[in-house]
Amino acid sequence: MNKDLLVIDIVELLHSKRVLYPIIGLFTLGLISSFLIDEAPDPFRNLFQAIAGSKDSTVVFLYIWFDDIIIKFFLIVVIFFGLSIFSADYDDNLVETYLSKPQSRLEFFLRKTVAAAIVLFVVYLVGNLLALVAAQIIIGDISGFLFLKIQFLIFPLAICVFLMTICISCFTKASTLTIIISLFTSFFLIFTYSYLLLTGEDYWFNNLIPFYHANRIIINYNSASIITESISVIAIFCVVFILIAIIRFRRVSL
Amino acid sequence: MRFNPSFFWAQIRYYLFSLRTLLALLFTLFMVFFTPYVYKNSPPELFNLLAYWVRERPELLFSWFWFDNALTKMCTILVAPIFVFDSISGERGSGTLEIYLSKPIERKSYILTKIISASIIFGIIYFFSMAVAYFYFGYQDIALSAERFVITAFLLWLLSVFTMSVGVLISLLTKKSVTSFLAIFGLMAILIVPSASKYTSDFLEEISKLTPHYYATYFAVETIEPLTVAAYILIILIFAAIPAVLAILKFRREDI
Repeated sequence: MNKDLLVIDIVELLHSKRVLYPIIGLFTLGLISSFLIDEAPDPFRNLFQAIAGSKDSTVVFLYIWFDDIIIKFFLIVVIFFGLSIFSADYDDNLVETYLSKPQSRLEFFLRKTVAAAIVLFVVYLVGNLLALVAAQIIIGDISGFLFLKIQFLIFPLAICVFLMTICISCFTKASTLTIIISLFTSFFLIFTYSYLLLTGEDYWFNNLIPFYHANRIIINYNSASIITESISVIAIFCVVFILIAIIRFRRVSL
Repeated sequence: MRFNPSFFWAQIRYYLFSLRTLLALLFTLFMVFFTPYVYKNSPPELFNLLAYWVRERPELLFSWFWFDNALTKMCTILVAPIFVFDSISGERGSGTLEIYLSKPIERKSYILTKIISASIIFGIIYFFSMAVAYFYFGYQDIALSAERFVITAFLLWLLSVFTMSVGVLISLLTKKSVTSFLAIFGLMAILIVPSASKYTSDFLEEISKLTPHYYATYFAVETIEPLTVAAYILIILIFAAIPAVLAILKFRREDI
């Protein structure tokens, strides 16, 4: 992989609006969620605590942050990062131009994917840090180390959705279809696991949903075995998605 | 206004045989059936906690859970927008907008056809799913009389017409389909908040009256009176007409 081109790709992405807006969005949502948690009346707070399974402010904030912001708002950000690898360039008729240069499809694909994944991590890290600052100011009693540790542990989920979007875009090409299919797939999985959790029963189907495993990491953040197991499942999904995407991208006609 | 039937039928055919309609159907069926299933299978402790959301009135819980949450989300955020988010921006991007407008189609007619055809196709999917769901689940819940069910279902469909109308306006204002999708999704996600939490406080209820969502789900729990129903239909239609008129005014001046 050409490292100079990788750096150029990263710098180009870092200067784009798709980096700034999600960071501002995460910070704003961090402020709003912290304010809601801090000002919530008791029955509301009890509901949050029951869902999060803890009375600790950090855990409650973490759960709300994950359930309402990360798997809804940030999920869309991730899907839009996934679009930038192939679909956005395909829409603008740029893929042929890029591939006419002396580089293999695999190299092009991996470079773009790695660059976007790195920038995605930067957005995630900065956005979460700002949200943490907002929570510290408004709620106060938040363990920064625990918050960042768990955010770091669930980042593979973002990569999983990112790779799923890339994988879908290699089949659909155009960004319109990629958005629709990626979002429907994600929301179908989110609704399925979160609604099934409400029933309080253990459904085998949930074990196949990466979002469920991220949720398990948050609830069982003290259990190394559960964290390892959940991250392994998400990692398997990531590998499957990237392999399918690579195979498809190498054969796809432009 | 000159209505162009061939353009209208072309739009209907396009939606009928598109992948997005199939996905919309699957997701609508999923939302319509899965939510009552979860409601029926959830433990009572959960409902004790959720009772706060409906001001300690457990009899409202199913209506809130289904109409105010699942179906409103479906009609405004998750399914309805996918029919229109690229209605103008996508056509502009692919160059087909110029071709359409070179035919005898008025710009006003173009916008209205986009909104109406998308609403009709979504309506077919939605009413089909709701009808099946009613016979499957409806009789099991006392709060859901046939009258209440039909009126709320219809008002929610009108709410989706509002979504289509906003969607077309946003699609006209943005250059890329991706941007218009984000804008519609974000706007609708914000608009749903007061209505989804309106039972928790008088303040949120007052705020929710500024959105059409409030009027769409009003009869899911409140007494049905013919005059109020007619008034609320009119209110939602006015909400839907505003973005449509703005879109027409903007589109008529647009340099294609």
